[in-house]
Amino acid sequence: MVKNYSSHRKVLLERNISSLLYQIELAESYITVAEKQLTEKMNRRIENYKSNHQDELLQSYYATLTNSSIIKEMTEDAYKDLDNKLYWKKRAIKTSFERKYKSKEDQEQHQEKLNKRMMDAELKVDLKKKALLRKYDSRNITDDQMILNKKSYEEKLAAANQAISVYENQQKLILDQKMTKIKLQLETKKNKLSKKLSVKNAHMEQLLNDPKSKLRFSEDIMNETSILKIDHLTMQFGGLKAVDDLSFEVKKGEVFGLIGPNGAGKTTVFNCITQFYKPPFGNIYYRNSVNDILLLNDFKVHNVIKQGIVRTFQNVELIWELSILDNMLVGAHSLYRSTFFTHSFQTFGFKREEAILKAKAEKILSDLDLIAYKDFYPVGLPYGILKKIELARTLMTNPNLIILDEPAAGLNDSETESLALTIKQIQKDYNCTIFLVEHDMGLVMNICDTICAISFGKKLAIGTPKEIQSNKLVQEAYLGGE
Amino acid sequence: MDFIGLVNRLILAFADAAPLALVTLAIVLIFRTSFTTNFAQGMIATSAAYMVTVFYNRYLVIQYPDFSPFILMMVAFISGIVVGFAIGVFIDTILIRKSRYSNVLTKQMITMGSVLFLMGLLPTIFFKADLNMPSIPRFFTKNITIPVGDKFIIMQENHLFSILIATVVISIVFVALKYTKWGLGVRSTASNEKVAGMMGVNTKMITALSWGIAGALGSLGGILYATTQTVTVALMTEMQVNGFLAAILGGFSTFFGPIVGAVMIPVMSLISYMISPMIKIGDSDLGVYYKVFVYIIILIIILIKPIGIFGKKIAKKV
Amino acid sequence: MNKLLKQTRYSWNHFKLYFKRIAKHPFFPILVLGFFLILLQVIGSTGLIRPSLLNFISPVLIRFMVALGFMLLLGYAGLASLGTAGFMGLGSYLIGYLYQTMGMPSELAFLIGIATALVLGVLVGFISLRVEGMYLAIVTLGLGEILKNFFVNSPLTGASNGMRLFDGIKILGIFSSTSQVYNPVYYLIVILMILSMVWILNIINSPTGRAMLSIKNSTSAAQAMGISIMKYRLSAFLMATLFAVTAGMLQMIRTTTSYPNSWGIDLSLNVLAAVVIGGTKNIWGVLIGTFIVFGLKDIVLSRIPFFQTYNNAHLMFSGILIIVVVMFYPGGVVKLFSDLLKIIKNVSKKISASWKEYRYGKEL
Repeated sequence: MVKNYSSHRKVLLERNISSLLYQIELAESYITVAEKQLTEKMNRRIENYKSNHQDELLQSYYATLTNSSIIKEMTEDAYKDLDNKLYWKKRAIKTSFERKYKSKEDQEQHQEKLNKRMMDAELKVDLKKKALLRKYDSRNITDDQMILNKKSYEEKLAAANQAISVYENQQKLILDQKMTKIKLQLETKKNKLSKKLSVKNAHMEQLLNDPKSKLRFSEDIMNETSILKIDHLTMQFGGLKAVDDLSFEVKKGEVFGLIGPNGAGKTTVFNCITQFYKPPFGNIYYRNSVNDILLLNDFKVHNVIKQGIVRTFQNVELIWELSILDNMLVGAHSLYRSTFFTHSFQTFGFKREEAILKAKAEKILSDLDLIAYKDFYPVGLPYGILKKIELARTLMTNPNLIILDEPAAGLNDSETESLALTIKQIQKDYNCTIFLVEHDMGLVMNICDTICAISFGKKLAIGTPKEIQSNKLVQEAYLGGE
Repeated sequence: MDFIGLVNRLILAFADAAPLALVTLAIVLIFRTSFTTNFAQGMIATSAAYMVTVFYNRYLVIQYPDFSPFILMMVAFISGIVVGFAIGVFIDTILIRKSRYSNVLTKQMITMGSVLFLMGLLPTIFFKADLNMPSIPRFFTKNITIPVGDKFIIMQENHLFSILIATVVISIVFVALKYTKWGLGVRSTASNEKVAGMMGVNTKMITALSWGIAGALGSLGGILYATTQTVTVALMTEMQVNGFLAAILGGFSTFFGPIVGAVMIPVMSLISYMISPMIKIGDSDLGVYYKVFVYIIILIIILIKPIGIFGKKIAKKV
Repeated sequence: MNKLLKQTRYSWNHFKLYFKRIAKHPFFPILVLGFFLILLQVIGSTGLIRPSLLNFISPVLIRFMVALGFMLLLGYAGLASLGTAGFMGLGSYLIGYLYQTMGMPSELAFLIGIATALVLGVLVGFISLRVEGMYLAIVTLGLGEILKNFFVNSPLTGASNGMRLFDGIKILGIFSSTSQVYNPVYYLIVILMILSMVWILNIINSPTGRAMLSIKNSTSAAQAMGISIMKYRLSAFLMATLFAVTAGMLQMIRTTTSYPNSWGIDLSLNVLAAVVIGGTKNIWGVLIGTFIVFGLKDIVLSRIPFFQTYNNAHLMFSGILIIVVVMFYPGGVVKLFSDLLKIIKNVSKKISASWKEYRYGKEL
């Protein structure tokens, strides 16, 4: 197969267009994030301002109170404090007394001592209370002065309220200004981007209409409804053929199950699709989001995800040294447009991108009821949760095709049930195709639309769950011949 | 350079290759069983060389002056090899196996720490740093000269001895790998440790034994090499670097490839030694940099064939 | 009067709030450290502190920069390199040669040094990282030895006599020579150290740092998430190389001399030791580790008679520390500190509870 020039240009253009679209999307979703951040900042500032005024006002408020009312207000807490202290003091006295005189007779003999010490403590507290009373009672404020005080307090209160409201309005104004500025900025940016986009789109159309540029693979290589086609795939290790001349197609939007006894080569098929193994024979075609057919064999392992294919692993492969949220962000790695340079300086644009992706990660986590584990590290979490987190990580890139490698392995029955629900929900909510390998027949029969059974790398049967259940070849492979 | 001179040089190169092949074999042996690179290989060998020298010169000769020096030398040699064996086993069983987390990187770091430790320990326990180390005893000191025309092919008996010993020992190890229980264990551990363990191979024992044998092999190489050098802490550094490069050159996945690599490196450096003085820049020639050229050539070979000349690609299970 | 007091109180409160917010910023302790180091030298230059007490600091700081790069390589990308000393030596000889023999301005020489580091790093890294990460240690070990061989033999580097800048060196208006008791290059070193700490922190807390950690934890998961293993391993190695070469150049500017014997494998291993001992994922740990490995030798060990007679014995010390830390305490000294804090907190809680029980007994 020869790579022709125009198809290469088309791929480049496509990449440009998708990057532009993503930037526009970023710009749109940034407005809410920025608003949230700025309002938070503003509220904090207003709060500070208020608390400053309240301190000042409190003093003049006290000046307006009569002696009796100020006593009521001020002594209540102080009395409570003192009583509490007295309680602990009494406890301490009693314990030390009991430690000194252990037998009951001794205690009775020295009961007076105890009583005296208790009385002493109470007396001390009483004295303190009286002193407090005297302090506030001794204030001599004439009625005239009181009126004056009240007046001044009211004035101050009004002034403070006004100041606060002025400050609030001012802050809100500033916020509005900032937001309009940001919106304007984003608008201009969006305009610029969409201009660029329209230019690129025009290019693209030109390229598509150009009779010289044909699709690299003609449409008839793959059904219109299918997303993945495996064509005569063969993979061998040494002399052993793990996958032998296997072909099938996966339809768009379905849940496709691949089953087979142990060692049937199911995981090898996955590894071939995601290019962990480079198959010596056979092609794997894939229809991406722009309806172009790609030959996956040409891709490097880390570029497969950029076409919208994400996978999970048999044994949970999370990053143990990162928190769950950071794990989710690792899942979004292919979305980052920022570079090493911007990371070095933590530029504004990078921070914006990070904030948006974090918000996205949190949304996915809360969709799957995992938000409580956000800041946990994977070490020590239950296996079912880890499997779910790995599933959540695949959703970060809005994939078209999710490949699940034994999602129910190592889970108990209730966990498997909840997993089945989650998978169904994901397939509906995120509008993607799911392709899974599983041992648990219950799960497969429950959620799959189409099932392909293989044995020793060869296809036995393909069809709906019912057809597979009644197929003799499959029964033989599972239960042994005859 | 004329033909006879070339032959003489070639013999010297092979004499260099003999201890190098031993060290390389040791490195590969450990790599195949423990899946790590043993950076302490050179220091283990140096410890053995120190041991032999000090034991012979400071103790055996003084205590038993009546014995034949040949027997004393044998005793000293064997003691050195035993020391190498012991250090190897110690690193595996005590340091690596007892660590809380064990992966390729931690194993590497433990061997690096051992290098640093031995580097400080050797000059401290054996000598004060300013004392000169006496040379290692030699079995043979004569030269064999063969006249060819009006020139001579000169061979030191000592060099022939080390080539002979290395060839014999390496052959024994290869035979052992093929036919003994230990060899079977090593090969099965190398291909899949878990399965080997399940099939009843005592992988721990195999690994410890391999470390010991590797230590002994390296020590033998070190002692042979030390007969032509002064013993210092840096005795085996270059040898170890060359051992690693030889292993990469030949490919870690076979036992045979690295040995070929070990023979290639001294030959390559001989060629570079002869050619590099001919390259002239201005007044000076590049003769002093002949080792640099060898390194660059090795890098280029690795660039072209990253898994080594004889290496096989192994698919990883995901 | 009263009003004024009140106002000051409010602004003090404001300041306290503001300070609390600033102190939480990860760069704050770095700046404090830099300020403290500069203050130390300023006080020292008035004659209050003996120069012998302060002179060990700048070599330690230079090695700390190297260790920072190495931390990224070891703790994040999960790779080990043994060519560190070779790269440092390369930097120091390069700037010396370009400045003294070629007569270039030192700033230009500095930039050329950085460019060389990048080119050499890409070459060596690309060749060795293609097969397995483990190969890097081997190839760089070879490179270190070859570079040392080059330093010993080449007439360009002054062979075994080493290189010496006889007239001192002037960089960015700062003049440095051996005759100065307080070398003003110290300030340059401190500033560069602060910059590199900030840079490393930024990288760690970004997708780049996370990608490196992912590769260290699980290469297949990283690849499946779209992380190019080669790219991130190579960039970690490049950073380490860059830091090593820069530190070598700073060393040359600081001491104006360079001997081939100071760039041996023991230096590379000591840098590794500093990172491992301090804690492979924490810049403060690395700082502590560097002081333990390089600083302790000058302050403490040089005063103990045993280490005076056997001047190689300190290697033993760091060797044992590496092994012990790797075997039993992979978190390093930093982990030790945090664990100790936890223990102290727990113990004090227990003590206060038991004291309460003793003093107050049961309820009344």
